[in-house]
Amino acid sequence: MKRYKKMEKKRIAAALFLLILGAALYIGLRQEKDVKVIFVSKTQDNIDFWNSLVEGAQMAADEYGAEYEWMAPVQEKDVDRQKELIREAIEKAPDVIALAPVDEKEILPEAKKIKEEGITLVLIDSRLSEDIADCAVSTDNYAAGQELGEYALSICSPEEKIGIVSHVKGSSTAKEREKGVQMVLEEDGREIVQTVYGESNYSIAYDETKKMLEAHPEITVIVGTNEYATVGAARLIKDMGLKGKVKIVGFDNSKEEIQMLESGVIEGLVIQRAFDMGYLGIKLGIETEKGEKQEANVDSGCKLVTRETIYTKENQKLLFPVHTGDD
Amino acid sequence: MQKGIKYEKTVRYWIKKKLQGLKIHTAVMGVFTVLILMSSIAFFILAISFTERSVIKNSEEYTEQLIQKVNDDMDSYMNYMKDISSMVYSSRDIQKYLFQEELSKDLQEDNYARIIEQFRTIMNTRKDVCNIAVLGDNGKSVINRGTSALNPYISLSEQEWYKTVKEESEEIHITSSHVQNMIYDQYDWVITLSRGIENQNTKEVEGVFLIDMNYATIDSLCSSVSLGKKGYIYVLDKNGEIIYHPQQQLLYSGLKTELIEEVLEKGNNSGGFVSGKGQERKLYTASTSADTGWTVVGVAYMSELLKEGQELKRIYIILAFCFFVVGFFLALLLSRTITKPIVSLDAAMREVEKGHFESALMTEHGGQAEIRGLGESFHMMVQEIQSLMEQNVKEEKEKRKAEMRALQAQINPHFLYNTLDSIIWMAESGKYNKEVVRMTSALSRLFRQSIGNEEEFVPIRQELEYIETYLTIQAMRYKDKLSFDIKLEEEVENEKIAKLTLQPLVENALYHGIKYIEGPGKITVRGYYKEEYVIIEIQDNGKGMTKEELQHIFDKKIYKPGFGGIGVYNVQNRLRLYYGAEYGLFYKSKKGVGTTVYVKIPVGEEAEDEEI
Repeated sequence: MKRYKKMEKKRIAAALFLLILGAALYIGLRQEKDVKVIFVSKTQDNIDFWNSLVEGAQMAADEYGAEYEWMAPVQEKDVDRQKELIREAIEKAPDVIALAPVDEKEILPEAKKIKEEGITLVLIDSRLSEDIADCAVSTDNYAAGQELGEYALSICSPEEKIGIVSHVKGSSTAKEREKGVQMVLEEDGREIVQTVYGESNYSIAYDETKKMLEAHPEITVIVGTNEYATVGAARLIKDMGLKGKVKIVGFDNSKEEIQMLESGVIEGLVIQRAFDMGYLGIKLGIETEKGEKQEANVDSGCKLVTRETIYTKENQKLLFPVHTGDD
Repeated sequence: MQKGIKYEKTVRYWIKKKLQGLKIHTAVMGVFTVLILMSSIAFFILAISFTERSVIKNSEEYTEQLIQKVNDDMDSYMNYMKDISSMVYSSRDIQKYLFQEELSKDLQEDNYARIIEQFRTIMNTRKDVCNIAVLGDNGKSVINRGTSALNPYISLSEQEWYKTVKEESEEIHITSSHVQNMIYDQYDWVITLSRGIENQNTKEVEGVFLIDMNYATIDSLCSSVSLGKKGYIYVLDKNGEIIYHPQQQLLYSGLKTELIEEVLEKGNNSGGFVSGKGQERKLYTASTSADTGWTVVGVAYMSELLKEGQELKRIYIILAFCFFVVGFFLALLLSRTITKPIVSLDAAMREVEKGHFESALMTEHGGQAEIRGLGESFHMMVQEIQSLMEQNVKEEKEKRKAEMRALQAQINPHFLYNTLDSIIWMAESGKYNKEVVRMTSALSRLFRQSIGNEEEFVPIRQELEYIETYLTIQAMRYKDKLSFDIKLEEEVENEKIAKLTLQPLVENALYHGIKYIEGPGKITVRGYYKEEYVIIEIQDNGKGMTKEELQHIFDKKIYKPGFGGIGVYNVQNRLRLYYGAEYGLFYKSKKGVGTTVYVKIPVGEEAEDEEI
């Protein structure tokens, strides 16, 4: 009787072993299915910052062999359109949605819907007013603001007056950068004379700057918080012939801004790593979705560039994105 | 030396101990299983590594060729550019335009137009020429299609490349990739091919010619070659700076790193090498151009190269596994076949231990030759033991019988000298001559009967004669006190009985029964058949026995040395020894009445005592 029991045990063990091996084989050799990613950015505007960022995102998607789609409102201030696009994106049932929210409060309900559907949410560039995303990649806008403030202080004397041209009032990037500048100026005992909002539109920024200068002609330093603000203000200064008299410290690096920097209209630019941000954003989103442990918040970094340092090897690479494969 | 021996002792010893502790079957199975598993795994590993190696080798050769081709293409590309530069450099028009200031405006304009025409043609036919220009120190310049202007914020003479070119006019300089900031409103990543232009008159370098190449052609060259879905090609200059890389931006941001040093060290035209692990395992092949000093590097992903290998791996795993399973079951079968006869032999031996000889002998012995040999020897041995045991038993019986016989043969000495006394007394008295003769001859007859016969079994008739003789003597001695009667059924007298078994019973009847009564004693002997038995009945009217005495009648202590007689115990033993346990003496007695003993023996049996 005992002998039979032993034989039975052996047979069962062998069958189990076979089963386990089969399962292991299946799991090991099974093809991994592709990740599906949708990126909803702020605008379809053809400005360098977003162009680079979207390119970076595309590169990451290609690298992971992901199914990738990009959509954005035509204008950055079109909050409703972004909401619509988010809803459309959710319908398509992706694994990951990357989002650059145009307004940290307005977009929040839609963003919550993303989470409700169990889709991984990664924030790129801007934040939401509540911490509901799985991860985020952005410039540390507060630190960037500080850089702006510090450089502004370094190029003027203590009596000079400073004004800010910001962009979209409700966006987290605007808020944080302004705060950074304020912080630094307050420490130095300075006040900000006025803050105007360019709504991420060149003409609006232009007009608002004009209004600001008319109201406060004592302003000799202008801090621009993004490309539209900076370019708008710079164009105005150029047009009004105030180059040299009113100094500009700006943000981001479009071709125009670089030319202005070269020509002296702008004194310095704090630039973001747009390409990196896009790349890291998509990468982080995919990795979080796969369950690989990652840092939840990644700072893509920023840098101050002045006229002298435009063409250093490192800055060349930052300021002028390489376009391989097209031109 | 000491340590070495100790270690060996421990390991080998331990293995031995472990193996010994197991049953043969388990040990054999264990060893087989380990062997098969090891060989399956070895097979698998060898097959995989062999396949992998041959795939790598093939891929290396293939990518080497591809890279070589790309390198050659690059070279011809660069040569083409150099040709253009030579063409331009030796162009009279340019010399005139740049350095002959004394020419009239019209002529100058003509020159300019021709040069621009040339440039336009070049720019139109080649999409990869980003800029083409000649620049004089004197500020004169011809740029692209004539519509571009210099960047007013950049001082040309302060640019590194400009300075270098001016120093060596014979050389063509090729920069690494950089942003060309020279042209107004243009910030392209280019590779600049430049050369100093010598003023024929002064023999001084007073100008610069340059062509900026964008990535278009390099890109198409590099993407024309397919190294799998994920594979790619990149180009390094002689300093290890990246000229072109499909993920250039990521490299510049520091988000990715690419192997550069290792490639320059190992790769160079000497076959490829593999680097990285897991999904990132890649095959690197490099080829350096003698002309430009650029190195073209091809990167192929091992996982793609080995995709076939994956399939194969799966097949190998399944094969190895089947191999293992089949081997395992074969081993099972084999070890069963070998060990089964051994196990059955073992079982047979256990039977023998318990004394079950028959079942041990019935076991069939199969298996290998050696085992069969064992089995047969065992078989013979068991038979031998069996017969020896039987013989032993027989001999013991014989011994005991002999003992008993010897004892039995002793005639009671008391009886002897009492009888002799009687004879002497009667002879002395002179009156009993007849009685003397009778008693003496009876005694002599008695002796003859007791000593004489060699046979173990005698006819009952003979035994009764013996009793008769004995009783005759006793009767003569005790005169009126004893009388006896012997009667047999007809055929009974011919039945055989063990000799000298009845006399002690009669003797007992006398000395334990009749002796103690007042009146005359009577002994009656009967013999008859009862069922399958022969019964000899010896009845006396002696004092009889109580129930107690009856119970103890077969106790050994009745063997009283005083009497010298054998005792009922011995007779019983003998009878039982000869005939078996169901035969022998059976007593019936009533105190004060008498005792009857029934001697039960089998019919026609002579027990197990056939003298050959």
